Amino acid sequence: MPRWAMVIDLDKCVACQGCSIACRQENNTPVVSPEQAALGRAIRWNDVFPMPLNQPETAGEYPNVKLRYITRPCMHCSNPACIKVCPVQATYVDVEGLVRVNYNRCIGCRFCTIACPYGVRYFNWERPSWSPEMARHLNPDSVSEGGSLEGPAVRPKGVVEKCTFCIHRLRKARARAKLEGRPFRADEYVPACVETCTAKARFFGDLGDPESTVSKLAGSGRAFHLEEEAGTRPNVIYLREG
Amino acid sequence: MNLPLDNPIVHLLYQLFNTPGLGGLGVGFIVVACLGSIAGGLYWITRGALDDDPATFAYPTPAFHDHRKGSEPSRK
Amino acid sequence: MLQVDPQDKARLIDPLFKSGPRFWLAVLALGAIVGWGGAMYVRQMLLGLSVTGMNRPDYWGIYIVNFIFMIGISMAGTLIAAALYLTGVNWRRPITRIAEATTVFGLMIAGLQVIIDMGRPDRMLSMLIYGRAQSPLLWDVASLTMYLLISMFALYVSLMPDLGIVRDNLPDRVSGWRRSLYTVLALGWRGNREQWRRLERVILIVSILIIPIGVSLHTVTSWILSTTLQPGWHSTILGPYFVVGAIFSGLALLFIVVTILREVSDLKFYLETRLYRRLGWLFITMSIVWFYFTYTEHLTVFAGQEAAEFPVLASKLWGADAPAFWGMVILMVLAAYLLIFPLLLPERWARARLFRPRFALATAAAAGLVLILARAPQAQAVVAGPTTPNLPTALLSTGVVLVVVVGVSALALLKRHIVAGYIIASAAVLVAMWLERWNMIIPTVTHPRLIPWATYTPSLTEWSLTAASAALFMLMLLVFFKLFPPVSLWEVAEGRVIDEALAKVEIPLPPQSGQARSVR
Repeated sequence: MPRWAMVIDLDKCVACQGCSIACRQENNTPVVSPEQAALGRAIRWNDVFPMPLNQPETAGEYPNVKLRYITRPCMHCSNPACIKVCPVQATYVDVEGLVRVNYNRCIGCRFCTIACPYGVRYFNWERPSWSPEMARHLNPDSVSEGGSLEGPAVRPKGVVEKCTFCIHRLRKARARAKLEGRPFRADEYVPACVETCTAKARFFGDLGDPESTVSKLAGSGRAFHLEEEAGTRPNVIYLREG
Repeated sequence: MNLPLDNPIVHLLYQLFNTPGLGGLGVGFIVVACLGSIAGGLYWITRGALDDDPATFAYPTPAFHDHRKGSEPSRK
Repeated sequence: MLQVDPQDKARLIDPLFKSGPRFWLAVLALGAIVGWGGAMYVRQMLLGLSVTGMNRPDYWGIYIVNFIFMIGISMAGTLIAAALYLTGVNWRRPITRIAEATTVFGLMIAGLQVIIDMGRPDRMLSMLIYGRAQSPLLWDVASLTMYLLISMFALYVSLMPDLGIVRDNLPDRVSGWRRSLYTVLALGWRGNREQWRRLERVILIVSILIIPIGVSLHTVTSWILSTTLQPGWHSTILGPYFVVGAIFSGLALLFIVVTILREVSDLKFYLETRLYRRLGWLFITMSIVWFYFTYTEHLTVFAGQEAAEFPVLASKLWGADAPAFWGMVILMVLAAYLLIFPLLLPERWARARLFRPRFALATAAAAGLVLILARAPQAQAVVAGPTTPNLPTALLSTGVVLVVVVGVSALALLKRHIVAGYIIASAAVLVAMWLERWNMIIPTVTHPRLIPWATYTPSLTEWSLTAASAALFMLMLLVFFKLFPPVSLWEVAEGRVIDEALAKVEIPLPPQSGQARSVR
């Protein structure tokens, strides 16, 4: 079973936010009004934000300002803090290492959103809505296995959602391989953000395969995790600027 | 760093007790145990009225605990 | 036919069947608030939680604050009744019913808060069907259910003899449904020796069991917070801190409910002022313990100044949450002052002119005037140096000194009117404990690691539902105390017999050793 991981090279990333936009188009992320966005309720499965985020005094003094932009999907941790607290197993980690959310079972208690130290989880404060033009172009893909509802499926209000590493693309790639009667290869599927990245700064693959790009890049001296001290063992590896 | 789940015993316990539904069963068990004790206690108390003793009391006093039947002078 | 003392009947049984206009007015007013809350909740269900002030990162707001607060105030009731029963003191007898009733209804309202907070309340049963044992929320559900059921049992079991008494001593013109209410609920209570033996055995077992269950409930509630990695929460002290805060706020609620019943239902005969003095010692102890825990909790963060932890404390000390934090501290200091210092005033000094009410009032008026003047805009000095006399600061200092003098001169007043002092202190403690729950949740959720810090302002919906929950709590208590005697008749009667018997006993002097000074 592949162990999915993502490597993001911050030296190449230009913070164009193409990844964020591709993600929201791919995954039917609801749009919120400007008032709601001002409240901080905008949903961005992949978020691009500056670091340091909250203590600007640590960024240094002009002209020696050290500010960098981080693009952040869900970390899909190997020891996730979020799944431990869900009372109904609406969120769980599967055998491939993906942390998944089942919209059909979520009761909206928001314990997982509080527990995640990276803030990758979002809540649907109201019924998702889009402008009429956008509503006509929603992604029809969804993942439904044994009564669950995951992936880009249109969410009801009151449930939690987050980046899924485009699990619908994974399902489609596996189905295609099965149809063609051949084994599935780990490099057959990439999430939308990886495909879109203008600077080719994102890599995706099987961390369990020592020959894969992500395995080789993860061994780089520039590799680091966000919030390493949290002990969550994230599977998104960043390469710091060289 | 060894995570708790790497330990086989912890992993087994996790599989056993962390299945969705088992937690609900646990709560259900607690509810049933509480309600059962409550019902049992109330049953036991109400069955105490079936005693032949004609003396009834509006309130007890520590003298009850001397267990000397007939020492109570009057019916209250 | 169980007979009851005619005084008890007149004071406790007859009022149950006489409802004046004040009662119906209160029911109407509280019902209106509850109805308003219900309407706001329906609106929230239709529009989603966007009608609240919660946002990202502030996913938990005053619904969870209310949840922890209500669990806190309800924990103390049955716990205190049970603990005092086991110590065997007599003065606990009039308050047991009030304590147990506040616990049962408080827990119900606490459970309601969680349901209000859920994004998908229609999936409530999923918590049981798919419940996962690893989740602290499920531990809390289990613990709350257990404590609620056992508290209800404790309340009912100690109510049974009273139901028998009321059933046998109804006034003449009583409606049929009420007659059958008491008959059915009394479960055929006869009151013979065997029944009393069994009842007291059950009360003993329940009282012993309920103490660890009660302590476990609030500890488990604290584990919802402390098992996460969030700054300010991932601390071992939360368990005992919550338990202490719960007992403290529960006692405050008990004092307030007891005082209201004293005045409104004319129960001064049972709820005497010596109750305040006796229970007050526990209240004072919990106040001191609370200060100890608060200081301990914040000292480590203040000294360590970790990058993720310190902003949470900084927000409380001088940031967005400073009003809530310092408000809490000031109210707690005020409560501790009102509870402790009147006891320290010697009787002889109470006659001094400093402690006359007129002096206190005059000083208070002067203090108010001075503080208002201190806030008035002053003309800017042309050249300001460190030695320039500064009128606003001088006025402020004088005002503070006068406030202290008011505090000191009010001591004699407080010493005489213990109930007034206690109700002010209890109200201060309740508000301060609510603020403490705010300080527990809001600074941490608004200062996460990797999300931009936010501020949280509760919306009208949240305040409405808070008010409606409080109104529902009061309404349930009101209806309960109209249907059933608020003071436990049988326990009070038993206490009276014991007191009378003890008054007749003359305890002799111990045997003397050495030369006798006088011949007895």
